[in-house]
Amino acid sequence: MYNILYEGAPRMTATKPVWAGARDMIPFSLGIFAYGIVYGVLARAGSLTLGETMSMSALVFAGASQFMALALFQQGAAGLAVVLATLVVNLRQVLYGISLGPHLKGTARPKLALLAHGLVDESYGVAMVACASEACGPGYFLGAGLGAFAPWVASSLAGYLLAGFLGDPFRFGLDFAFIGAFTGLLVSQLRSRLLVGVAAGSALVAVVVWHFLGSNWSIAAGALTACLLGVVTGEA
Amino acid sequence: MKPDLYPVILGMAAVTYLTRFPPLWLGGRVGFPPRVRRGLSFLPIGAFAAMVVPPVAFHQEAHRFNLYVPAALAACLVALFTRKPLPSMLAGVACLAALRAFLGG
Repeated sequence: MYNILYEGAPRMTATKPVWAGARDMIPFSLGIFAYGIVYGVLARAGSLTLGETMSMSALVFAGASQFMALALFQQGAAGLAVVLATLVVNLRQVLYGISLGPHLKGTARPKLALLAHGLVDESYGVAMVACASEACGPGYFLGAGLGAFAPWVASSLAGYLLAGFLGDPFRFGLDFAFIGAFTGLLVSQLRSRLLVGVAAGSALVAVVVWHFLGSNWSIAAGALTACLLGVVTGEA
Repeated sequence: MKPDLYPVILGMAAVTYLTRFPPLWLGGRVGFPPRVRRGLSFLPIGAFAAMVVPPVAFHQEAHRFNLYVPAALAACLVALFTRKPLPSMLAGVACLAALRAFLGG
């Protein structure tokens, strides 16, 4: 009984796995699109070229660190400092990879190398929930990754080119899309009192860490707390 | 004159990829003992909770109310009934948009 994430997960009936992955990402794609617009607008305001803006979205493909980089460029920070800060912001993905890896076991290394680029908060969350209920392989994760990558790149471009015409993309409350969608994912997984306790404990640790160390470490802290609680509550 | 940003962008891409591929590859190759596997299966719940609770708790709105709190309650309520991310997201976003329109935020 290691798979705690089972019922209520997205169904993958006869659909092709790639489509299933992309479809299950839809609730997240919308929020990714909204944030990408903001990124594009801010990048242009920070006088990045279109090439710089787009290569960052396509090659780095990590929202929080891209916003942080824009702020650091503005302050005239050294390049190395920006790279190190990016590493810190994205360290949580190490935990994602380790826990998702077993579900992609047996995938050829070049294929896995490509799939890895699609690993972000959203695709990780959607894939972990799906993988726990059904066999989910590289196809599904490819779809989930594309469901994050495509809207991010497209909206970065739209934000850059249409800056000033689009208005505030958050005016319809879309700044809450990420949190709202993850709320749904979280609640769908709370299937026992133990798991409610694990979520509460992780949230508490994340709040404390955010307060003292800032938002860079809070997600990793919450994830590690849950992992630790899972280890210590396991039957010997 | 702005310095050349491309080397910095490539550096950012390289370190980010290092947080993606090697762990994913290792995770599929290392056989974890049962207790660790159990811990790893709990990991998403901690990550989800950490993505939701602190940003709501520390959110600062343009005016004095933290409107993420009612939006999160709406998302939670819908999530309890539907157990799906899309309706929860829509409920939270709609609640936030309505409150901002009402309060003139």
